[in-house]
Amino acid sequence: MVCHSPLTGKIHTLGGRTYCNEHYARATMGSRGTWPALAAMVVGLGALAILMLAVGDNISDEVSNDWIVLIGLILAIVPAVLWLGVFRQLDRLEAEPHAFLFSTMVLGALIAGTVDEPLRRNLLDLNTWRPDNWFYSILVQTLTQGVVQALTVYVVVRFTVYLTEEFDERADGVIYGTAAGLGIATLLNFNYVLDHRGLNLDVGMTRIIVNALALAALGGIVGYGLGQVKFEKHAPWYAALFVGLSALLNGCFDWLQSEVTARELGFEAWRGVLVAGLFAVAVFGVVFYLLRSAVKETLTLAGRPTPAPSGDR
Amino acid sequence: MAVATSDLYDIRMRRPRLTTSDLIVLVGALVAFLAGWAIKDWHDDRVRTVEVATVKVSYPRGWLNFPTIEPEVFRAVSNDDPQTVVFLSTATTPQIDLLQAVSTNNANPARGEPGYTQLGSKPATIDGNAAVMTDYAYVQTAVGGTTVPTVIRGRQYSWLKNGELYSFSLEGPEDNWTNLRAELNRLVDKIDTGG
Repeated sequence: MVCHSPLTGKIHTLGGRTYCNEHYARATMGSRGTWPALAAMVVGLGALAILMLAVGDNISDEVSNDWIVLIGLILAIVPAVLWLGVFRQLDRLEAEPHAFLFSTMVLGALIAGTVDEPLRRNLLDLNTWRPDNWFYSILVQTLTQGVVQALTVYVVVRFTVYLTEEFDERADGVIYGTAAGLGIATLLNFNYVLDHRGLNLDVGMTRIIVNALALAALGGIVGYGLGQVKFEKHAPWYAALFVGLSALLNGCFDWLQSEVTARELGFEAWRGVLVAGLFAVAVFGVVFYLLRSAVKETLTLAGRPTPAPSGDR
Repeated sequence: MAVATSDLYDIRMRRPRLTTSDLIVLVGALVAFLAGWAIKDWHDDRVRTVEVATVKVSYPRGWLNFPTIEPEVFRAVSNDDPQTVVFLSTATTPQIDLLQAVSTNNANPARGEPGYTQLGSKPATIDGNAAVMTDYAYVQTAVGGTTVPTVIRGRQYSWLKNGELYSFSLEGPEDNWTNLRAELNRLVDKIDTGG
């Protein structure tokens, strides 16, 4: 028992320890680094986008195509490294299993490279597809690309870390879902850089950042559903609901991106990053609110006051 | 989620068990993906059909039907790329031998383009009529300005009917030829040469 108070009502167990309702709710809200790391990733990528829009074009003019590919490949992993780095820094005191996070990213990238991308590019030709209007764009992208990428996050988290004792907080779903999403984004960004040898680094970097922000947020949604399923009793279709929601938002986001960046480069590339940043903030904001609500509900049932917003256990 | 670092390699993993929730996700995803694939195919396969010179020809929905100059009787231009076109041309011919008719006057305006080269021909069938399929290429140069010349690939199907030589062709930039060839095969299957 973590608070050494007498236990009344429902007894919760995490990692072999028993929790009262209040401490169980706090424990499952997420560790110290969860939310600051996500915020730092969004802010950091926004700052990087501004920097690359300012100097990327000059760099592209100065170096050869081979160097641009090399720089592009390095930049493609920046979003994942940034998030992992901030998370690790903020969680020094709690010794988080970063190897698990890294492995989840790598597995997400591997499945994206061996299953998602062949389906998306070779079977469906979605990378060159031009739909007639917004309706077909959203419908087809949701049912194909959206579903496949959401399913990848689900499978990567559900059949690996979800089965371990490390997955012991509601927010772990969001963390590992985000990691899997970033893994997929990294692979997509590798492909993008290799497909566009000699790309302008300003525009190229914004594409990389847009992919990372969007897929991290979409992975977080699937992970939220998994976290809820693991720690609360829900209907069997509950996790599928979040896979479907992630797929739908994927389709909507894809269409929105093509709309705001469709004209020329330069300013439009910046608009793409802005939309992706707002999208990520909105999605993670809603996920945070839902987690808070779940914690509040648990505490209300126990007749205790609501805990502080995050990581104060 | 917090554990001691030294415990990282001591992973205790529960045996994976496929739950009802997993099955709903997996089956639902499969059904959704197949539905999305079918909708995309249906979307891409939609065509418009027009009747010109007693022949019914189809062109992709969304392409623009342009006015024509003889010997062309029909021309549609891709909405995505103005260099990608499909057209039907006709020419009156006294020939009754298809190969001879094609070699003397195949009515394809591309023959007058710079660098026009026939890449190969082979027998084919259009709506039950004997036809000749001819691959060709030429260079499209800019009328003015600094546009880089583009290699255009084309494929035409020619057939004889009622003293007319018909040629149905699709042309486009060489770098997109693989996709265009598949598009042409789809359109050729829909040609109705008339009674």
